[in-house]
Amino acid sequence: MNIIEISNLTHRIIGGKPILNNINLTVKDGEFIVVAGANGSGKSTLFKQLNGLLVAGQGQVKIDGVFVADDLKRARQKVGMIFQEADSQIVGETVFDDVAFGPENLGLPGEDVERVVNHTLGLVGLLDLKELPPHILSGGEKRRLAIAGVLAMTPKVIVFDEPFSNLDYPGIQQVQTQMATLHSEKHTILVATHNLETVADMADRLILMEEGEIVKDGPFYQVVHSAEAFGVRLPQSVRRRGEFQTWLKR
Amino acid sequence: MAQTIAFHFRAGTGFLHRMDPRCKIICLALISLSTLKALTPGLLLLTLLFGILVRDVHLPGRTIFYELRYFGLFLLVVFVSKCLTQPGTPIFSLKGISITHEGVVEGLLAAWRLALVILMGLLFSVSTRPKDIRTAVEHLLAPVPFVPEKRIAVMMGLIVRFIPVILSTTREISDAQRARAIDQRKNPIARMSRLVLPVMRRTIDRSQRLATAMESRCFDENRPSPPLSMVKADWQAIIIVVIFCIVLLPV
Repeated sequence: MNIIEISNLTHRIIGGKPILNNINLTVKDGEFIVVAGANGSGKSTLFKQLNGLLVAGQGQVKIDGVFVADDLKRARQKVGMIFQEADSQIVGETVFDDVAFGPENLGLPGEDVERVVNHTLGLVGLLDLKELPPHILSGGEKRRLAIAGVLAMTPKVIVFDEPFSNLDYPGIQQVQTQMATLHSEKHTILVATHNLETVADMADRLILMEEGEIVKDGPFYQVVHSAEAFGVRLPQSVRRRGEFQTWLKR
Repeated sequence: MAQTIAFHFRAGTGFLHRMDPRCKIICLALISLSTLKALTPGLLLLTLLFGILVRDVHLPGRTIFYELRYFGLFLLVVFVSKCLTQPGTPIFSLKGISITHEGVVEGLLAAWRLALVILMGLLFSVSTRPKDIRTAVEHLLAPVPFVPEKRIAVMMGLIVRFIPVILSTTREISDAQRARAIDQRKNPIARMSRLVLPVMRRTIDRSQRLATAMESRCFDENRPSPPLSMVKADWQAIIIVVIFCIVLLPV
């Protein structure tokens, strides 16, 4: 079943050239998709269309069978977005308050909010830190908090925009673990990243974008070989395999 | 990475923790106002009250000193300025500057009063979740006409959340500029403008991203505020504090 259906989507700034140009895309429920491309290729703009943060002039986006523009609240509940800079998306004065922000916006009663928040913080391993203010958390913890804030709204699709930027190695591992867990729990995952290395083991499908268009779309290990042509570094695993084959030919 | 930080909520089950946050704000305001007029017996009573409340919230003395270490300097400045400016019987004179007996007494009282106000504020913030403070302000402002209480409450929450982030940005930009020898510039206004403009630019940029993130999590300004309920003990506390302030403190 398709959880995301995008047809003929074109988004342009008035008087400018299109940031997204005639995008057609379907995503199956439970898929793990990586969207890669050079800066300015339109990845973030595409993601913002999925929960109605941006609404395109042309084309349509459906989430779970319903047009995004018809029910923004539903779209935002179904599609959780984790932004590039965790610090800018954490709104609560404490870890608990931040995770409670979404469920409160959805109108959940107080006891349910508390239950959901405690459960979600348990899932990302931050339950012990729930009374702390977010600014004293580490980079990886902040990213996990951002994930918890989204998970508390029980989304079906989780969109990560450059989730590994500014993270040290333990932070990257923490986010990778969360992603793998979410994928194993049948969430649909979309990740925009330059660093294919970090998602190579998890991804089902790779989409390459250039100048607002989808230029390649297919199984990860088929499409990944074209990545460098579109400004994305090949993962080391793929690079080594290539080197090995070159050595064999000699 | 759990760590202690200044004026930060600590979970607890004592009386102060259970009190309605509106009641705590009212009591804090009453006590703070009357402290400014109180004399030695009143201040002694307030110190005693503070001691009882400290035991109630289980706040270690070391933590109190740690959290208030920067206020110590402020209290010292208040004390010294009173000592030097209050007219009266001199107890020490040097080159036309004299410290008077009345100045020392007034200085001690002023520092004591301010310390108590700060300590009561500390107890309030240690025993009240920031979210509850926000909700209480929202409830207290609700009856005031033409005041957007929900917006003010959200703004309060975001200020509390983002002050450390803005300070960290300022430090980062300042370090980057010092690394490029901004210290060599003599003009302090030029130095300041080089710091303030990038900080403002980044803050505005960050607030834009924050607004987008809030929107993506279904933020609605008119979302229902969490309910608060005053119980009998809260009303009793307010009555006791009012009596305390009217009858005992002017003594």
